[in-house]
Amino acid sequence: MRMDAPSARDDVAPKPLEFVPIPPPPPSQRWRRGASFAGTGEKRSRYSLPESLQSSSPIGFRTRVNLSVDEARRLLSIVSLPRPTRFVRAGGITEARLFEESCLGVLVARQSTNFRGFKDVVVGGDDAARVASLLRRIGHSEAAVLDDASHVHVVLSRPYRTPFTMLLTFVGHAPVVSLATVPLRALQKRFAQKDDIPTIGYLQDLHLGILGDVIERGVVVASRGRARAQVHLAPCEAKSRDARAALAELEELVGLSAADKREGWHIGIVAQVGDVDVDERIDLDDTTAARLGAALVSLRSERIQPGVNNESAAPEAYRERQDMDVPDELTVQCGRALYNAFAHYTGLSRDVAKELLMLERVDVLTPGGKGRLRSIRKDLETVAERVIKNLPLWADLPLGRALSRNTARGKKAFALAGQRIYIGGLSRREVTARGLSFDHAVRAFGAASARSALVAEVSGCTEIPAGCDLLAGICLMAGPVNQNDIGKSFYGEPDLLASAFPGRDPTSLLVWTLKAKTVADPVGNEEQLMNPARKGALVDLRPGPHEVVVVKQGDRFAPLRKRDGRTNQERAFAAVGNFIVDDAGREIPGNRGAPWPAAWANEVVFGTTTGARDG
Amino acid sequence: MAESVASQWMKLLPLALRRAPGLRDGDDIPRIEVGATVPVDQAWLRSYRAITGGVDDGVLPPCAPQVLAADLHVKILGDARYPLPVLGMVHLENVIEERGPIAAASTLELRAVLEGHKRVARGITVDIVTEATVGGDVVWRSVMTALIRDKAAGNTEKKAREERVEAPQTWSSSSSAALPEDLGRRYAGVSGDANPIHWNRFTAKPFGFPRAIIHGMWTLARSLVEVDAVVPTRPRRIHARFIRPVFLPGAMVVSATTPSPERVVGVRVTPLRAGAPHMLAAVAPLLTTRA
Repeated sequence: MRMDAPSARDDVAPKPLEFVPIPPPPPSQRWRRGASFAGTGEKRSRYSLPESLQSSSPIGFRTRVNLSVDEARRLLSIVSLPRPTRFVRAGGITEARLFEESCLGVLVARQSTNFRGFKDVVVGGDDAARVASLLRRIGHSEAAVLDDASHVHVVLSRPYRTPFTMLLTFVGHAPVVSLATVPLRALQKRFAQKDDIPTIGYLQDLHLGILGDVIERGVVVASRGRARAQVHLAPCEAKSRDARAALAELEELVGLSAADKREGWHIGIVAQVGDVDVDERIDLDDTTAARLGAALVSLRSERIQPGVNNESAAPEAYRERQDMDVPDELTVQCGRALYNAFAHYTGLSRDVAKELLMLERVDVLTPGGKGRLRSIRKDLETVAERVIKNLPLWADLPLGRALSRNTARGKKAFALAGQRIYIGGLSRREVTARGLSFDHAVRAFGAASARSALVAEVSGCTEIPAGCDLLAGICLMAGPVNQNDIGKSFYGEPDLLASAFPGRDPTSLLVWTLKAKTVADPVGNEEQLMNPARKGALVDLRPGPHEVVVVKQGDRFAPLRKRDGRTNQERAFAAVGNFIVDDAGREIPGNRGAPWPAAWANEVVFGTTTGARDG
Repeated sequence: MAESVASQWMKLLPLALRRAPGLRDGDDIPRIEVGATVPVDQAWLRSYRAITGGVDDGVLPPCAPQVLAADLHVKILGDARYPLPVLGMVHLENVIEERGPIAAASTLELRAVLEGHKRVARGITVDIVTEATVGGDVVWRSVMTALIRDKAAGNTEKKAREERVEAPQTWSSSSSAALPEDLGRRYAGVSGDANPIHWNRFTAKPFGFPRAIIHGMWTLARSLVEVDAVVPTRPRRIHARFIRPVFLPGAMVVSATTPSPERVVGVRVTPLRAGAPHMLAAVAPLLTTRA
């Protein structure tokens, strides 16, 4: 069954998004996390609050912001904005503004596993003008290059590499010859940036799309509606000699060295930022912007559906099933956001977007859906078992069977649970027939899926009743797709979408699992992202600004918020106060953070106007 | 500028070698007063700000005058009339009154006084009062209380002090700071406080510490930097109690309470893992601006 598609006009312009409330469950089924600090001598678990937080990340342990309907509508109004028509001369851009933009951009991990494969180089002034000129010479973009940008985020990207991809090196080899083919593949990965399976390569593009979309929104919030981003998501592919020279100049401008390139770093996104004409501005006061900003940075992937995929030892709140569902109208709005975004980032019409995007809906609450879910689970587990069976013993045994143990453990990564499950993908053949590169389409797909998920998440944190953490959450997963891809690449299995879209040669890319529930995932899931001592095997730690954002002024590249021996301790939009506390209101030490010195935060980084914020 | 290790040793040596006769019952420590004119060395101030994390706002940081008076304190403690041992002294408490901002480029008239003592369960405490005068006005004043431990005494007072600690429920800021192993040595170079308990675990061990500990004045200075945005501005009174040593290497969490109706902000330095605080402080607006 396909995703409910709204009726659409045959154009690129986005359709407005409408807020759809999610009905809460009956009071007897309302649960919240209610985590507490472990008592003296009590063993800590993933359900206990962390003892403290030591991190430069601007996120911290946050609760969802309980939005009013008006705030939700305001947020949805900036989710699907048309592209800016032109930039006007802007005042000075303060360090605080860049910080907020970065918090809502590269520093907030929308995806379930935080992928630290990006660096954000921010340039302004003459460099911003030069970027525009170079982009025109490169000539490969889905949108107009604009003049008068106040600054530009140039996102550098590298291939997705995690312990999971290391494990993949050992997958899919024939006995005996694996002694040669495993090292060969490892060398190809290391030096030629080749991927074990195609969907691992797509992950980088999916993440870039997700990031491009959050940058677009982040600029609006951080500028209080005055500025917009013109995000160029299409890969920087230089075809002519002049375009190649321009690309090389752009790489030099942002400090991308030959050594970086050997590591696989390349230019992923170019996001021009500038003030827009008054009629394109969004009316966003400081208080509303802060609340929307705090709401955006507090969104989390939700993996646990209470009473379905909880641990047996989980607290009662996770063991009780909740009779909840979401209205079909919400699905319609999510679909609308999806098509809006795909059209926005490809330049294709919404009708074409609908034709290209393949979405299979698995209706978990119906007998047919349950059967389909069982079949998917069985297929994926079969692949996992084959992987374990075929792992080279010469590698697995000396490692104490760590490879096979981790493969078995990885089954959790494709556990599907939720009231609504969608599998999404594209057909390479159909995409290229439309004159679009597949990589570009995959990026647009990432942006579109994150945007559609956001629509559900906004409804899931609006008018949250007392005693609840949320009303719905989403987990965007690549795990099941990667597992299926292993089956496709090495064992001749069909694509996850093959039965739903026969004859179209689909490539599945992501899975959405929407969970209508009132209890947020255990805080331990977030601690994996914040605490080096509890870091999970498949996740990265949330970075501080100085680790991934570089600001270029003149010839100098300086990390954001690393100065005079200090690094960032400020949490983004901390004044909103949505920090996790225990039942007695006790906070996690170190979680609230402390403001960056005002004298530094108010410094004008780009432009000439002095004064607070961006003048 | 930061002082070299050799220079610190040279300063410390006479204090280490001097004979401390101790205090007999009925004896008291006579008034020992010293003074000096100290222009603020801007290179030193940059080093001080770098190690405590402060921002160059053109004003002397709250704990800086005390560091500038360190030579005076050494003179007092090296005075023949001072009867107690110097090495291993523990900084217990500090009260600072900032009566107004002191321009970073000022020349300070510093005066330090030690007089009398107090017997406590864990040994003897002494107060060193330091004042900074600019243009005839006392602009800054501090009372530093130090403990000379009596090894025979128990930890009754320590326990009593810990019992007074109450965890605040909500904070206006709460952040962490990493403390590298060499922090004590580097701060010693800047502050001139060459007490071996701050150097490394080998020099700290003879004084009862398993590892080096960071200076109390660094802890106070750094925590005031962390909470700068939420504490009252000058004129103000800062009262800090150092409860437990902060071991190196390590990390600490600095939290500030929401202001009381009287605008007093509590500052609390705790370990990363749950446990008793290292330092408790209160920053309050100072109502009287004249001594």
